[in-house]
Amino acid sequence: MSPLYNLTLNKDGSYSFISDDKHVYIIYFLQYKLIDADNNEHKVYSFGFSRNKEHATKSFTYRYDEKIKNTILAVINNFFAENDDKALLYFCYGDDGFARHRSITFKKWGREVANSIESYSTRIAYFEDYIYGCLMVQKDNPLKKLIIDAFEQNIREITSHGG
Amino acid sequence: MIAIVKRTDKNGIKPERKNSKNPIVQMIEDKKTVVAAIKKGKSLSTLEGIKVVSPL
Repeated sequence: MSPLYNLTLNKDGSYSFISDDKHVYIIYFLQYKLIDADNNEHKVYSFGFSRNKEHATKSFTYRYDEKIKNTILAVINNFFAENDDKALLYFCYGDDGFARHRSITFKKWGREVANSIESYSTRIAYFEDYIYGCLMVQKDNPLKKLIIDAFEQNIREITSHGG
Repeated sequence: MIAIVKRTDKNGIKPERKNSKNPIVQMIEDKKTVVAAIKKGKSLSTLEGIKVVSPL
């Protein structure tokens, strides 16, 4: 088993952990509904995390810490262990110029989550920028196709409206 | 399995936001709000219309 950091469930519903280098990570889940073409509602969660209250990245600032990746992957695996009929979404922003880099890292991590989880990546033209998005869902979720179709339909709507 | 320590508190129940905005746009905008709140050290439970949940 890979070494992990222990999570604390905070009063506001977010989770946090402190790395060996004393960086504080906050992980949060926001709940939404996606409506599919048949008008069914699907509960989905937008997932994000920050380091030391910052979202932006600076190159080569921090020592690589495998336990951080392991902890985030464990959070995703735990999420699906407890919510196997739900979907998880992650968005990477371009405000610091590192959206694509974050997206690549996250895709790489996505290949290390449990084999039972599938990822669907997309790039969304949003105002003057690109946002990279990823939807994760259990492979054997019987509602998978409806959820993916609803996700893609909403992405198409944004793209056709130009953000 | 990851270990989780709980900090218990009574969160206020917020009314659900009612709008017809594209949910992906809503997620993108809400994430910006959450990022700004974390930066300011604000509790996420104070963010109006944003449903922070603990699904683990």
